[in-house]
Amino acid sequence: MKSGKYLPSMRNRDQRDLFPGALEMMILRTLKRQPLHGYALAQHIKRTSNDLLQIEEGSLYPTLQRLLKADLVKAEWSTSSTNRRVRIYKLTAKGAKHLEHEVSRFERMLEGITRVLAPGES
Amino acid sequence: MMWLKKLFSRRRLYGELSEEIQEHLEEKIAQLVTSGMSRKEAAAIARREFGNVTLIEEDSRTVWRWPSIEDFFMDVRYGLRMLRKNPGFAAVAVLTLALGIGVNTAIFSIVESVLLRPLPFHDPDQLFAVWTIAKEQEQAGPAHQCRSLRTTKARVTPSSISQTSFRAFTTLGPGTGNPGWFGAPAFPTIFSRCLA
Repeated sequence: MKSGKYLPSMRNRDQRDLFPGALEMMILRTLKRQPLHGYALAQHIKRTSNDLLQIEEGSLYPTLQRLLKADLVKAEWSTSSTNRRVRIYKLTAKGAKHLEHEVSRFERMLEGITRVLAPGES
Repeated sequence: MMWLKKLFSRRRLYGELSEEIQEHLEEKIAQLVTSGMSRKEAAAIARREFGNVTLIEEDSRTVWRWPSIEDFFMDVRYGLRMLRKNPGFAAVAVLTLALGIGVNTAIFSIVESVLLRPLPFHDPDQLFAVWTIAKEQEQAGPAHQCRSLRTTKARVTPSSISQTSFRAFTTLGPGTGNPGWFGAPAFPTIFSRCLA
């Protein structure tokens, strides 16, 4: 599963690839805050992550299609404030539940990694 | 029925996806142009930051596909195209298949009627092929003679048969004996006619 393609670290050596499912989780979390269209979603993730995760903007779309197919988000066409036709994505109830589950899984994983990386244990 | 709806609305889904991606690029270009960049330069940056549009569209469409079924039909279509392009090969392939299927069907028909299908009589496992053996010559042959059958009919039973002059017998039925010794349906007809 290609959950996202990221620009190779050409411009910023600190940019990191993400684990599978990370982009889904970030999209769902962003949409939980407010419904957004693809471009705004890309900009929000870019801005909020402080550009550390330089996501290739297009990689959002396959992920969004997967989320749509799984009924985790729904989409409808609308007009943006700049009078542009945009497709707004909204989180569904199923998506909110999925996000909760994924975040708790991620936290457990992170805790495990942190414990292993903690100095002075071995 | 959701899957059916999804299957038939794919053309619309793909159209919406292309439109959405174009809108994304346009919005990015417009934003860069607003910040003072030339449109050409903005378009180049927008495309670079977006990634490979064709590949991304393809990846997005793949989400809605059923890869195994669609790949199968794609292979079938490819096969048919190749056959049309090369009629000589197509003819040989079709003949080979026809011959293979025909021979297999013929062999199976024989095996089925001789070995597998139960005989069309009541209690087929109680049928016997009765052979007479002339004691002097030790020559065996099927008991076709009504007269010899009539003379011994009282004794022609599964339990008594081995004690009579009918020395060899075999049961007729699926997987037992050898019903090919005589025309399977013919013998019981003779037998019943003789003993009637």
